[in-house]
Amino acid sequence: MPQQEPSSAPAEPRAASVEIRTAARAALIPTVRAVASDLAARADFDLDAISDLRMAVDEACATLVGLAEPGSSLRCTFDVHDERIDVAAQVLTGADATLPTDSFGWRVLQTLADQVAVETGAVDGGRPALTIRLHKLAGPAL
Amino acid sequence: MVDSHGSRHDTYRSGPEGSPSRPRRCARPSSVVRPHTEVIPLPGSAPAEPSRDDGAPDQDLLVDLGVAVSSPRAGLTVLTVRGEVDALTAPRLATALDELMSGPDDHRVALDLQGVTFLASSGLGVLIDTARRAARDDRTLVVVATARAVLRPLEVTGSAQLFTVVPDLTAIPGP
Repeated sequence: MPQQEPSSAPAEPRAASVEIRTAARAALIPTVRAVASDLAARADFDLDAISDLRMAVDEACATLVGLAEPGSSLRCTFDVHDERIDVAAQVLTGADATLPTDSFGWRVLQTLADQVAVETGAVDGGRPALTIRLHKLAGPAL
Repeated sequence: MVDSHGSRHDTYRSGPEGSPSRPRRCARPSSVVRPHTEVIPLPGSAPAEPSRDDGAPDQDLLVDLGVAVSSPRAGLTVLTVRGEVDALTAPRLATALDELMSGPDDHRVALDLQGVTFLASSGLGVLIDTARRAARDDRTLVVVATARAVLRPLEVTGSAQLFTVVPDLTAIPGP
């Protein structure tokens, strides 16, 4: 099972925070989306919301893995709150990587998640990174 | 698990990813089995199953999709899909659908997705392309689906209307 570290959750003491890191490879995304699905189920999410979160996390990860530096990692953090899960998925990228926001997949992601945002910036001593943050509410939102 | 017939269709037969029926795969990070490796253990060093050489870059993980063509009655061709349709497996579905749609156009074609346990936008894209092609050819693409894993993505994206969705094969209307 994912490691739960409630003591280290930064912002909200009640949020359970789960972080997983995999090689940035498409073949490992099923693992990440399974974790997302599992967390949503345990947080008593609506069945449609579980399905939506699983798809949204898959989409975010698939998009990022396609832009990741060869041999780098995909890092996903899940913050489980009472009524929502916040997800941050991050990869290291090349200097000029941009995330396509006009694709079918991106529109699907926007539909599935209650909120989506992209962040670019440097991490780990200046290495460029892309982060997708999404929020999913526990109840039916569509 | 490859069965005695060499068929790969059973590999995803049961349930959602991470279900206990797939214990040898790494769908759940297990601190019990591999306590000293990375967070997500890579099973490449201990392949549990042979992998088909299709040139995919991730041969060490089982990512195959079960696809099979059958003709349960005259004038009807069915493509049965099992597994998870995501960015990795969607090309296999696209190839199979391309072959299906290239068949004799007096045949009704159906896509049996009852064994599909996950459908990503990449898979949806393939289905939508096929539905549009069918419409251009004046054919009907029937989709057999009952599970949320398929129906929800179709519903959320508004693409259910592109298909004739039925609950089982016997509900497919005759030619």
